[in-house]
Amino acid sequence: MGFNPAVERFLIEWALDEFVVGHLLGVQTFHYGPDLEENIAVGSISQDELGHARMMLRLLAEDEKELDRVVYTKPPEEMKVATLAQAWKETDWSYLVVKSMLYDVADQVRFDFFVRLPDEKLRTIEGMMGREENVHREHWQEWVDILSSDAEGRRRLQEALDELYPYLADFFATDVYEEVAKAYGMAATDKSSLLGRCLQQVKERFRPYQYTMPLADEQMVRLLEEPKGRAGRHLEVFKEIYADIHSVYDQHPEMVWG
Amino acid sequence: MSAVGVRQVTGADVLQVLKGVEDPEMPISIVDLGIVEGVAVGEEGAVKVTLMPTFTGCPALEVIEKKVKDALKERLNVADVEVKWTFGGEWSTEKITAEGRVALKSFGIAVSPEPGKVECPYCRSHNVVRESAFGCSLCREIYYCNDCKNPFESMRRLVRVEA
Ligand SMILES: [Zn+2]
Repeated sequence: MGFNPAVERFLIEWALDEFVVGHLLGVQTFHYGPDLEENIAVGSISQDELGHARMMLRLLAEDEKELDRVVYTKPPEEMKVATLAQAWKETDWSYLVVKSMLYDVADQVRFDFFVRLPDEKLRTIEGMMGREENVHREHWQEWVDILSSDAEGRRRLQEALDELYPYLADFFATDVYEEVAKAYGMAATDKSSLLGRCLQQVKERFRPYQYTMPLADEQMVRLLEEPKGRAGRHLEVFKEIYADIHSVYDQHPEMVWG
Repeated sequence: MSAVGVRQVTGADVLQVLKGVEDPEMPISIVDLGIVEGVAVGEEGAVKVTLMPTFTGCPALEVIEKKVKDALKERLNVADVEVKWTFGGEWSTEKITAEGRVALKSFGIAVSPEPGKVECPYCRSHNVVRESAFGCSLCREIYYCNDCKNPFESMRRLVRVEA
């Protein structure tokens, strides 16, 4: 509804990230958590993320079927979903904790960029989302703290960090920030400074437990030039995710809720 | 439309009908839950209802929208209804009416008057602990009462944290 194409692209990329993150948290809610309360928490966070995706897409189109088309009619290579958003192992709690922690920190850096955009229409979606994301980050931090309390937990978190940390570069490997800033006549926002801010916050969250980040900041900045998910080059597991996400829509493309 | 006794529907009429529309997850009307942000009646009798979800991921938006439209059609014979969801405002437990608090309490859900003052809906004790920030719907969280040993839910209150 009257957004600059760059802003539209920004909202769609963001919505698809949230959609995939929310979907994956919801797929096997009951398998993840060590206890019932945690299963409920994971289910709630999943709903929040799907809600954020819906809210962003509703800025672009009110009609339900039009929203569906944004999500369900793109071939995989046109879904510029961050690799970090799609990273998934079926039953690995520490992997999910690290993925969620990293994603939510990166998402906060994106959110901070977003709240500075001078556009009244965008203001309508930030209040609730900001509060909900605060709760998510604190939730995952609690789990980082709990799992870090013994050697086995630390070993598992380090293993997950080794695999997932480099994906933070891909998260910011898009020129959409620069284009959006240009569209609003703002000072250029380069992706390496966003990435830098994100890495600093991640390190602070893991610092108390002496984890080793697998790559130095300069190596991470270099990775910005090799986008994966952000360029539509997905992880192997994305095939499965894509098929899963489309299964209902493909059977009943005209179905509506309510 | 010129029949004697047929008067223009007013905002008060609409609100009265909405008082009878129940939230799909709890026995409380959407008015008492505090999610009705505004009601407007246009010159031609078209009704516009603005609603605010308790949480962004509320799965019941479409269901509530349909209930509102059906109720207005059935009770006031208004067919031209637009329901708009707004996400910008900040729903919080303060928006729940006194009547709504009573309804929730008798359903076993606490509504705390202020943060940290949760009262057990069964025995009114304040000797309670929060077990989880997440409950069986997005707007609730789980507590445990150390006195009567009952688990219960409380309406969830999110505090805005400045970055
Ligand atoms: Zn009690």
